[in-house]
Amino acid sequence: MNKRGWLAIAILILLIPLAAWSQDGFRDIQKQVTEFTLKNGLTFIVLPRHEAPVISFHTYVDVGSVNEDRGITGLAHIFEHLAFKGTTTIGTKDYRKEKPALEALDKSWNALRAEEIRLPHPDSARLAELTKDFNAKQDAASALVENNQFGQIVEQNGGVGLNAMTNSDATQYFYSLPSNKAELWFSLESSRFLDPVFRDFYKEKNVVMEERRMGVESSPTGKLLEEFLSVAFKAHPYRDEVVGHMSDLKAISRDDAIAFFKKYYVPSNMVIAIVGDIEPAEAKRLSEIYFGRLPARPKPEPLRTVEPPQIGERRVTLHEQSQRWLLVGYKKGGALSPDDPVYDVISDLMSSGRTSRLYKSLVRDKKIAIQAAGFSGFPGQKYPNLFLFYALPSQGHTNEECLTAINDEINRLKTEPVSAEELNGVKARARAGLIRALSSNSGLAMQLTYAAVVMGDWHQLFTSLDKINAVTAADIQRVADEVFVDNNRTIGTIEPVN
Amino acid sequence: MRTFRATLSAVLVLAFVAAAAAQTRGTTPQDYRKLKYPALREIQIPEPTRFELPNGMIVYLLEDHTFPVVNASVLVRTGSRYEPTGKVGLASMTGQVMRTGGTTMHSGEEIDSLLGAVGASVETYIGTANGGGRMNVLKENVDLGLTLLSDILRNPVFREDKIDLAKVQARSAISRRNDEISGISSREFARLIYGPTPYGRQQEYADVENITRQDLIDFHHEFFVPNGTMMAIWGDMSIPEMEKKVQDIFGSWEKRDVRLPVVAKPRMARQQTINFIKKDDVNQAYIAVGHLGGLLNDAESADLNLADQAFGGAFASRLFKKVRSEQGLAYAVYSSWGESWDYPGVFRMGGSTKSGSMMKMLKSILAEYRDVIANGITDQELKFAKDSYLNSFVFQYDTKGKVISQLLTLEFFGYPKDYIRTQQQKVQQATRKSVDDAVKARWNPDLLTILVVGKESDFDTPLSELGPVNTIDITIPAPPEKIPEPTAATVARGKDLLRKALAALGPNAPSVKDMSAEGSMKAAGPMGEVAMKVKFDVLYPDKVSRVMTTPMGELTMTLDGKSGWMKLPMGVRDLPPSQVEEMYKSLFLDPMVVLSHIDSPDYTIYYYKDDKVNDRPVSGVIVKHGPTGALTRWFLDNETMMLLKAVTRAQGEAGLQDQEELYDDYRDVGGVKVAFKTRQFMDGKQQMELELSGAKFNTGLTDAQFKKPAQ
Repeated sequence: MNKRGWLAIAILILLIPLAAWSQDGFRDIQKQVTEFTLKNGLTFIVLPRHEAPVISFHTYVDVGSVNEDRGITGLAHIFEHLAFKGTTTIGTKDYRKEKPALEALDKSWNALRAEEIRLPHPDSARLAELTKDFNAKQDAASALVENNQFGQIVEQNGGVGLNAMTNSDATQYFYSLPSNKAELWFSLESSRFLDPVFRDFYKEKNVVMEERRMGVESSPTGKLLEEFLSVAFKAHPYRDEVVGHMSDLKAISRDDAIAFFKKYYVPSNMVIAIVGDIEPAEAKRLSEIYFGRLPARPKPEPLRTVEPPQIGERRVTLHEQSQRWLLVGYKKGGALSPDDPVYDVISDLMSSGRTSRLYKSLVRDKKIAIQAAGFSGFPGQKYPNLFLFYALPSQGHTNEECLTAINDEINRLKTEPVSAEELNGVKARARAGLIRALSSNSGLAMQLTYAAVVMGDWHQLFTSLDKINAVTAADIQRVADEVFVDNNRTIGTIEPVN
Repeated sequence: MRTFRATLSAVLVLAFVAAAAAQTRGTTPQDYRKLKYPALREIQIPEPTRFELPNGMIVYLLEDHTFPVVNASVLVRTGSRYEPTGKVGLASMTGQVMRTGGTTMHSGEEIDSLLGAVGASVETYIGTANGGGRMNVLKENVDLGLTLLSDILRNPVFREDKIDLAKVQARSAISRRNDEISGISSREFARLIYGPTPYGRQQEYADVENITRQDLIDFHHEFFVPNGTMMAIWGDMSIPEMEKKVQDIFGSWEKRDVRLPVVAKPRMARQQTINFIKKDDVNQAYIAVGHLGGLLNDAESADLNLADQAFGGAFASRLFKKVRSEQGLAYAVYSSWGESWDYPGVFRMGGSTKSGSMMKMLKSILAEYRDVIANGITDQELKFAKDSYLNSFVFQYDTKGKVISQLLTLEFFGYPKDYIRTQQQKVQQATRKSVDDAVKARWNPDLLTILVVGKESDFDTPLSELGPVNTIDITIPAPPEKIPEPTAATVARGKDLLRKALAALGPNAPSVKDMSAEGSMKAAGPMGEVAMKVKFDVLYPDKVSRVMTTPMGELTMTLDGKSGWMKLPMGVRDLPPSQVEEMYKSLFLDPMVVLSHIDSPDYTIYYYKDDKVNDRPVSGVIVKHGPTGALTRWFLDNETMMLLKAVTRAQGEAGLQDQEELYDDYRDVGGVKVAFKTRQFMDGKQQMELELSGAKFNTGLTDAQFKKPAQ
């Protein structure tokens, strides 16, 4: 480097003073947070912010695809769709007529299903008859449906960002409203879980099957991820894609959905965060009025299955009409593991931006990949999961080249202590990242619920920074030695066919 | 400095719900229908400070002390639409390497380290209609961030290794572009809508190879000037201090006049087209239907957005209800009335469904579309769309970042600053009639572009049921061949090969002075194949005349040795210089000309590889004409020494591409062998076929007949 370069850097470094807004700012925000739990066990976290007359709501239900038994894979996600179908008063033209129509439809479907799976094979005449009956019953029930009324009410009242998502660990429902409509959310969201009607059930299953075809079956990377998980985990339900298996989607009945709802959608299994233009006292008053109606029920039993230690490398290769992809996953502890902050530090070190080690090695210098990164927490975070590395080899380069280069970087973690400078960079980025995360009402609401449920306390959103600051170079070496070993890894690749 | 500071702190009343003013504090749960809402409280929309530096740069500032961060957003008058043809991707590469390739003060790596160490980010980009930059720093790093932002915008050096990196990424992106069906559908649909305008271009390998470091330097120099730049800065700062910082950091940037190139405007399709792309490894079909969209300031914009919201833009929209909820045909189904700031967007509706219900879903979308045009939207739908817009209006102003970014963008694209409020008023005033009128005026049921991507054999009904289908081949054009440099050995071998080729042409080949030939030609045109009669006269080495007779009339194109002219039914005119140059280049590469100049210093001739043409072993020879730079690759049959193929690089749909000419049916014409059949290919597609009916040599052509006639 030439002299002028040094001088220029020295000048710029002088422009960087010491961090100013730090612990005080975070402490002030935490003081404004109110947490309360209703008698039925439902917990609320409220952060008032009055800059603009808007409020973001986030409902976190501690049920994900991991809670599905064999035969009902995909149900947690189907339920997420059903939660938009309304109640006994929303989404119906006349519930008194609709209720028996839905019951008749279920009966018809059960008969059809029984015929479809009859051994040695179904009777085709009987099948045609039952299908006809099912279609007629479905038409009769659909005629009583006021389509998508739940969404319509939210959108018409100015709701934005209305959506929901299901992953392995959780199901989350969220949107934002102008603050004068706060009570609308309390009314709608509580009745959604108090009084749901799973109407249009069989049509919505078709929608979900289309979602599976779109996200998994018609996408090379979708296929790879599904295969990869099924190989990486042998016992823990992290092995199943959230969207479920096609045979289960076909087989799941409305009774299955009702049973699932009763078991998992209980107040003690839900946490709600409200961030925006509302006073905590008002939020509490409305919570008691509306959500106090939900009956207390026992918290579901924790998941029994624990993934056993991996005793040998696993590998899956797909030959697709696609360019190459490489996934490398290592088993590691879950969110409550004391090493969780160490995983986060390694993730930043390896993957965050243009100074990250994988970018510098694979993308910038070797030019063997157009993207390369590694992050903690795949496919979920609550239970022991994977530290997942991935690379997209650049044109003319192979998965094996990328695998070797990733291994080299992993070995560096084990053999060279991370410099203080690099570690300080990680810590500075963690702090800046947290400050930025605070600026979005909806993002913050989501993070508060995650910390509360998965980490056990919403304060963890802030204390995670202290934990990251405590990570040492020796911690990184120790965890790398322990986790990044060949017997503990699964490799997934796409190789092109032409 | 001319400083305009708005002292008005406008108070905008955002009260859309004139429901009961007093809040009813109930103590029992209410059904949503019985709820009474208080009016939304007034919010103060802050007025940013605006000023212009003497160099013409316009700056907006707004304080926001909620969090200790400072953000900046920069807009620059540039864009990929100004790229030259043959260099698609130059703009985006310029935007990328500005940041990665370092500046006169700092290498890209230094910039990465300085920003990474404090969790800050400064990035630049060039998009379709503008370029820009973004800065996001904690407040204590604002000087670092602004200094680097200015340095990157003004003094990038485009280091070669970072261009190489950008090229690796560009090539890899091209190679990956057909991997996912969703990507194919959206990309090819936009290309169909925008056609051959700069908005519909796609980068190919040939473009990547064509782009040089000088191109990046020039593209940056052409557009990045303070008088073409606007910047917004907001966050935890004091306005007077920031104003001074901006002057100190950006004040020395020198103003320069810039002329923005004129860009071809996209036009509405002239007819309905049904297009298909084959993708056999999927079990869903992707459907996209639509036509050219509009501008954000079209008179009908507010009405059309209401129609779109009701039709396919929301959970409670018609398409979502009918296709997804009622029929369970799709997870994804939507419509989107596309609008951009200063060029038309893409109006698109569609979604994806299992292959076996492709036609069912496509027909369902088309029926809903035709219905909404014919019968309009219902009162209930209008109320839904208006309420959704008006009730969520507050979210357009709920952060200071949105307020200032909106003002910056409006001024940048020449919109009035009250644009959003005008739109709001138009929405308030919209009626079923105004919406229906707008829909009838702008949504066209007859000029739809329909695109289906998927596995044809699994479709419920063939797509051709709807009409003739245009199948689009999305095979990625191969990168142009890299041409090696000559060596003494390859030159000797090349010349030797051409001498043998000359001998093989026949005993009279060396004494050819002129040639006349005629025949028929078929050429691929944009509207289908065109057939014509052709006649050539060549007086070697530098005069040629071609007469083409088509159903539209007769066209003569002539090179007289110095310049060129053409004769059309309506008269005689000069050929454009670029065309004259192209025609001379091809004349200088005519086998007769080359073979009589094997030892001329004007030509570099060298062997470069063995190959095969139609399974026959051939020798490849490069022929380069120094004065014009014309270059061809010849492939000579190892047995007969006849020329079987010539490859030249020409401008094609995908930038500079290799154009192949295959020669066939050699016949002896008075002791000289002549190829009676010539076929031209580009990108595997035949462009032209020529069949001679007769040829003659040395008939005694004279200079006179190549002279430009008097009018």
